[in-house]
Amino acid sequence: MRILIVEDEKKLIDILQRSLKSEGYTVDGVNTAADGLDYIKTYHYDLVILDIQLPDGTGTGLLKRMREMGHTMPALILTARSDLDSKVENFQAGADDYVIKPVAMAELSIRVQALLRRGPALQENVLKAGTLEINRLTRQVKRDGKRIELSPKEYSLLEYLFLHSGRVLSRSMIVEKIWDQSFEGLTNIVDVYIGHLRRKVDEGFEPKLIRTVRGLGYTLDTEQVK
Amino acid sequence: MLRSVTSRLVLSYCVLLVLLGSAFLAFTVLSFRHYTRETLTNTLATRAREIWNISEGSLRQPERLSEIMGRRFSPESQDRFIRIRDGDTIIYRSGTPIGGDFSPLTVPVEEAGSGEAAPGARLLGNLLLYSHKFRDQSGRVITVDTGQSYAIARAVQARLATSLFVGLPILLLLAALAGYVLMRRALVPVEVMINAAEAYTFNDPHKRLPMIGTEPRIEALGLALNRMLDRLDGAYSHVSRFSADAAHELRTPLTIIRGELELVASGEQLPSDVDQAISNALEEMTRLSGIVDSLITLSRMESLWGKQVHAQVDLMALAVETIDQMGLLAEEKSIKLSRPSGAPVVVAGDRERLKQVLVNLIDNAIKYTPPDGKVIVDVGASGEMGFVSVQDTGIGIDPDHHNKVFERFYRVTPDRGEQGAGLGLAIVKSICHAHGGSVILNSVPEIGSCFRMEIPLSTGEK
Repeated sequence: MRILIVEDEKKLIDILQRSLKSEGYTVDGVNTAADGLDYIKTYHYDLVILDIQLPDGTGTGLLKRMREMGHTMPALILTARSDLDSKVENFQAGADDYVIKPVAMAELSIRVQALLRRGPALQENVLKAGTLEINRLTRQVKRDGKRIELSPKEYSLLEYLFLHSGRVLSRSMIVEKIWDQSFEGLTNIVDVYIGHLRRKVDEGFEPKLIRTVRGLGYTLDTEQVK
Repeated sequence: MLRSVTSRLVLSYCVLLVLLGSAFLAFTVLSFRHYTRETLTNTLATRAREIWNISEGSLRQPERLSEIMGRRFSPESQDRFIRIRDGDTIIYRSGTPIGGDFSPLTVPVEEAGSGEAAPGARLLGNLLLYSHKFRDQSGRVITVDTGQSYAIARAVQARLATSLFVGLPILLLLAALAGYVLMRRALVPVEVMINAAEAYTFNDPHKRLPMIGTEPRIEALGLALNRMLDRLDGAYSHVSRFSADAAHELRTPLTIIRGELELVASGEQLPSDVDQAISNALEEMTRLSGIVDSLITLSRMESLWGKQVHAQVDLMALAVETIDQMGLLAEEKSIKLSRPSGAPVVVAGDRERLKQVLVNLIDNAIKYTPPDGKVIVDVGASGEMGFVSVQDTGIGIDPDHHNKVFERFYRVTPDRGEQGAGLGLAIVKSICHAHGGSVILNSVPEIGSCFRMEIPLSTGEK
């Protein structure tokens, strides 16, 4: 899988390259819209990541050009602009996702994964991590074969962790996914719900599956149960 | 009261009027008295000479003299007094006047001065008496006393004084009243300007003071204030734009730092002190990102001030939904978070932003309420406004801080160590203002706080 990053900040390209390469992607980075267009014409990419502010134009303009030329690969906008107008404009220009800086690398890779449709088979109805399993159809949760009652929010949270098991989910990702934008900045609510969830699914069981990654967020730890 | 220019002006000219009026009154009364007495005295002097001329030849014939006097001067019917005497010997004396203002018999015989020079008149009770000495052919000194009742003159003088004493205060009162009214009318443009200035907010930064062209200096003041507002407005939008731009510019470097830290953190096993340092740095990074987001939200809200938002939002449903989502936060602290119930309260607005207000207010209420307390959320409508109030039984806010808590980066106690940067309530306020509403705080320390968001009801739907 080959990804192109068009971003004027070289250091950011460097970080993104290292992060995405560690996930197994091939990553190219260019600094200008003109170079970006050349690379798109020359090579085949599975995904492009575009910054809006570029020295010689905008990512939006580049996106329009490449769509006109018939390139249909997914495009992810990575920008500091968080206003609704900009979002709408870019989605209209053909963007598939819109991510506002600063973004956690974990979040970016999840989004990239989603765009490339390479994630865990979402069709699977029963997901397992060790002795913990959830049924996505009946929304039932079992540990060691015993039923565990969860509130709808707790279930959504656990399912979200399952769908990205092994990955670190930041508090803001969780807030945005399980609650909504209005809760931005209110990340302690995540800690409270994780606490409740742990009491129900981890307390009295070994190994502990929900792990806190300090400074980053939470993960459903599948390493130790494989 | 006495501080205002109007009152002082009116008061000082009233004092001036009192002084001038009293002087005028005294002068009028005194000069009138002087004038009447002098005029009467002159008349009496003339009459004395006349009497002498007529009576000189008849001094030895009392009956003839009496007849001449009666015919010529009719003293009794004219309230006059006539007496001709040789020293103490009375040659002729008029009778009691009809008015009875004086009695001729009791008029004393006094030697008024000497020689022929008129000594002036004396006032004896109601009688103005004038005496003149004449010398007849035989060298006898004959004194002619002539008098006139002074009662009428006195009555006129009293009447004049009374009318002036009563009239002047009335006049003064009217003048003061008229002055006050005139001053107030002259200050109407100032009142209008005061009201406009009081109503001025950055919600509607292009509004200016109205100009009422009555008084050039007042108009000049208004123009000067408006120019000042232009400059303030410019400075404010500059600051506002600056913080948005700055926050914007911070986003890319933040992404880079965060990315570097994440890569290090997710790499191979690190010494625990390095791991600790990176975790701390990442936590602070998250906080910094939050501040940047809040600043950008704030400036976006401000750019929306005064603009219309059209979506219909039911505050009741929104509050119930928010409370359901936050219930566990309250439960953690054994705080009773009450749900409102009732008819929908539909306002025009941005659902997500209004929810952000509720989230912020409820979160604050839970944060600052000790365990086992209560947070009561109420939704309703009063007049043209829909409201949501969040009442807690928390630590409350000192009245000194009531306005400041809505300022950016303001914290009641800087060392409380809570997360965030003191931007939550600033965002609440700017969102409320962007919707044409407001947020009102009522709080008593140690008892609790009540934040009330008011948003105009939607007019599009009943």
